[in-house]
Amino acid sequence: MSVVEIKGLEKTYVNGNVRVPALRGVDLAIEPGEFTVIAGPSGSGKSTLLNLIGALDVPTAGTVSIDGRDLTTLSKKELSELRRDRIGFVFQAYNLIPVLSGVENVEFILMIQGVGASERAERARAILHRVGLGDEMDRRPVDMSGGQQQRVAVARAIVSKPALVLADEPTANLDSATALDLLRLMAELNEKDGVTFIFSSHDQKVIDGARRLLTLRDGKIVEDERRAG
Amino acid sequence: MAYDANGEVASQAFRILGTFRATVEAYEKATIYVALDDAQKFFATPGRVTEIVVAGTDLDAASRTAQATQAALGDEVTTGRAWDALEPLVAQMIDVSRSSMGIFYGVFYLAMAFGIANTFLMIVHERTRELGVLLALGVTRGRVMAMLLFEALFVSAIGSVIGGGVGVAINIYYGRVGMDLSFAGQGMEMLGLGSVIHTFITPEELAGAVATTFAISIVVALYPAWKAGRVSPVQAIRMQA
Repeated sequence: MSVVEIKGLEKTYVNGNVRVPALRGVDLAIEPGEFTVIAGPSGSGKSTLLNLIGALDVPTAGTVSIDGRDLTTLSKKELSELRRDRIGFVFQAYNLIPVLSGVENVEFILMIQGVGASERAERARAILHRVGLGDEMDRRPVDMSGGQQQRVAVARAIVSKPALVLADEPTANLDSATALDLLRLMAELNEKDGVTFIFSSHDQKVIDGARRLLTLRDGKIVEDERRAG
Repeated sequence: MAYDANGEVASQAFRILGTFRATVEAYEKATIYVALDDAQKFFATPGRVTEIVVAGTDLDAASRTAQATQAALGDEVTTGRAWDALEPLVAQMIDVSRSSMGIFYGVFYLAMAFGIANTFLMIVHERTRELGVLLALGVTRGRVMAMLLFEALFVSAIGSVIGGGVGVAINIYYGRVGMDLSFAGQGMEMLGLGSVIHTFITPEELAGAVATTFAISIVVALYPAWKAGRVSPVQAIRMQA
């Protein structure tokens, strides 16, 4: 079964009397363990598509299914629970909770899932070691570099073993070397741990590392390229 | 020199043994104290008294006390009246004062409610990005609302304890030292009051004020909490840090 199945997806933003179509009929299936990059120029609909896959927004038409569950049939509470349990997010601006340390940010996801204190501390520390933040995990985000913050964000996204991780422009705020390090980490997590990643990016480094490259233009997928690993 | 009970002019010399100070100067000027026997002889009313004053601490129990006193003394007492019947002007002033205080409290609590609502709306506004991230990560809207309400509960509890404590301390201070209102002394005397006010607060009044403050805080925090639950995660996570 596909992790993500999209059929006839459309999204139109309405601003007063102006209707702006962002997606114009997208059909797509993402299989478990894929490392997919959605590329395209600004305004092509990359972020919109990622928001719809992540159950953060609702489509104007069409369906999005995660693990076989049609998102359009779920209540807001069920969508929240699906995001909590099945989807990991890595944002462009990291979006860590500033008052929590790195390890607490990772623990937070487990806490809202109802995992006990000792288990979540153990799992959070283990995953932060896995992403290479052994010594800095007790710092607050303000005391970390951008790369370190994004590593915490990756750890937060994968700690609960979600069905897929959505990364919206994850390298946009990082320098080239740090961005490459982060991409290598995510590729390794994909290869060794089988984490399914979907990126939205126009960073060439991210595009070069894609195993599957979807190119969006004017709200439509114009190219679907699969590359050898 | 004065008229006695028979309408005859009575006069007698008294030796002054001491003077007294009352809170109201007019009372000092118009009042002398003499022994009961001497007064009865002077006014030609042997064995009689014209007035028995029963002092109490509860203003609202005065009527009941007057009736009970009259019933206890039977035919010896012709009329038993409470203080508010004897001093209707003061009673009316107290009623007006209570009504004014009710309006004052209403305005005060209303201002407080707006202040608290504004504070929590600012909290929601400043944390829109964080709230959006929480929603994106899978925290339910109900839980975000509950979080804000719990914060309101916590802040209100701390505020009520500190506010109540400071209020009681000020009250105790002015209860002992007194609040000097001599700049308005003449006006106060017209009401039969002294120029130094000694404050006091009952446990019931304190509990009522704290409970009201607490309840208002929770009620006015409902709207900001509802707004917090309505934050759009898509827009919030795009906000600049």
